Amino acid sequence: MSASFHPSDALLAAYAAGAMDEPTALAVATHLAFCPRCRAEVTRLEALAGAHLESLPVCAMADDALARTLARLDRTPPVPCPPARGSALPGPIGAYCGGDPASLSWRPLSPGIDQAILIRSDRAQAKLIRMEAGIVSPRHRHAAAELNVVLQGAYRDESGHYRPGDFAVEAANRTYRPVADADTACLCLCVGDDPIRPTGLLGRLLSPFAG
Amino acid sequence: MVARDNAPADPDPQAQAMNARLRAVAQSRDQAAFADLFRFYAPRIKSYLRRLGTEDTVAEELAQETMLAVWSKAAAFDPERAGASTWIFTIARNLRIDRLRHERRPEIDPDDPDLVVDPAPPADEALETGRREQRVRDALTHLPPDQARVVALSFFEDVPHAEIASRLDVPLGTVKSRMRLAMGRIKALLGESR
Ligand SMILES: [Zn+2]
Ligand SMILES: [Zn+2]
Repeated sequence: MSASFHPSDALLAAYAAGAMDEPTALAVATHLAFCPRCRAEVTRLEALAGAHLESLPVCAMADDALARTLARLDRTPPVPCPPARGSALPGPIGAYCGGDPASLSWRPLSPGIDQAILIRSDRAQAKLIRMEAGIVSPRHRHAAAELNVVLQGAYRDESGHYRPGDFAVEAANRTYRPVADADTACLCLCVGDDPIRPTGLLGRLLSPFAG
Repeated sequence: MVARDNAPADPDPQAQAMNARLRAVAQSRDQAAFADLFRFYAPRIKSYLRRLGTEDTVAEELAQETMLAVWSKAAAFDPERAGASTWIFTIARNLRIDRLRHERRPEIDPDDPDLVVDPAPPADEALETGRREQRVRDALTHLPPDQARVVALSFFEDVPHAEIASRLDVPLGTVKSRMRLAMGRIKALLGESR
């Protein structure tokens, strides 16, 4: 099943340009694991960046740069391609919890809802939120927008019904009351706490198209 | 000047030569091929980093580190997925995040068996990588100069729209509309599916 809710063009572009903080990039990359359409878009944007790199005017390297680099080659062994492996969680999330979310330190947020912090940075934090089946979460709003990517299960709120891979944006200062589907627990990646700012570069380039 | 949308461009010989050198590095640790890659890419990676505001000595060092990573990771280069320039761009981008921002770069593993795959890949994905990347180059070179300038400034130089407007001495609205026109044109040439 592919996702039905996607990051905006501006977010995909900022991700491709590397102009995005780690927690937000984790949310985009996690969505990509579920979404061949957005993967194709990021591939196009990276090809655009690659073509542009070729056409940049050169900036002269130091005279001995090549010689010094060649001298280091023998001490720089090849890195073998890591074997592809499946994990309990899709995409890059596994690397943040050793492949197993149970290994994280979970703490209760409200009855039937637990959270575990994955990344805390000065601009945003990324955490996993686990809601028991059928749980109605407290009505809340955020001072800044918050991103949710569903990993397992599903939930519904005022803005839609979100299933695995869906990328939901809770706009700033609007009120939300997520309700987990009745049949199964819902696990989400949640990025927020601070204003989501896709800074610089492609973010600004594509911001007129932000949806 | 509009490129014909359905006539796939031939992959450019230079791009094919760079791909071949990268494969030679992966397969036989070919230092001469690596030196050729270094001469072409290192000064461009340094230029990319300088444009993003990295100071000269740091840009120099990171450009060398990027090329060392090209050497050690060459086995992961897959010309079916991306051309040499695109692959090297992603290495430079990630190294910059790692070294200057001290953050990890979350990425998917394209070989991960758990990735959700498209039951029917769009025509764009069926297009051979070399041709697709050639189309991107064509799209860039076919932009009218005023649009190309705006794209270059905001794409790789991290210049805010307001500053682009004052540098080019045009109103802010003009910068935004040139950007919109340019990206619309590039997306159309790439067979934009959204
Ligand atoms: Zn998507
Ligand atoms: Zn919320």
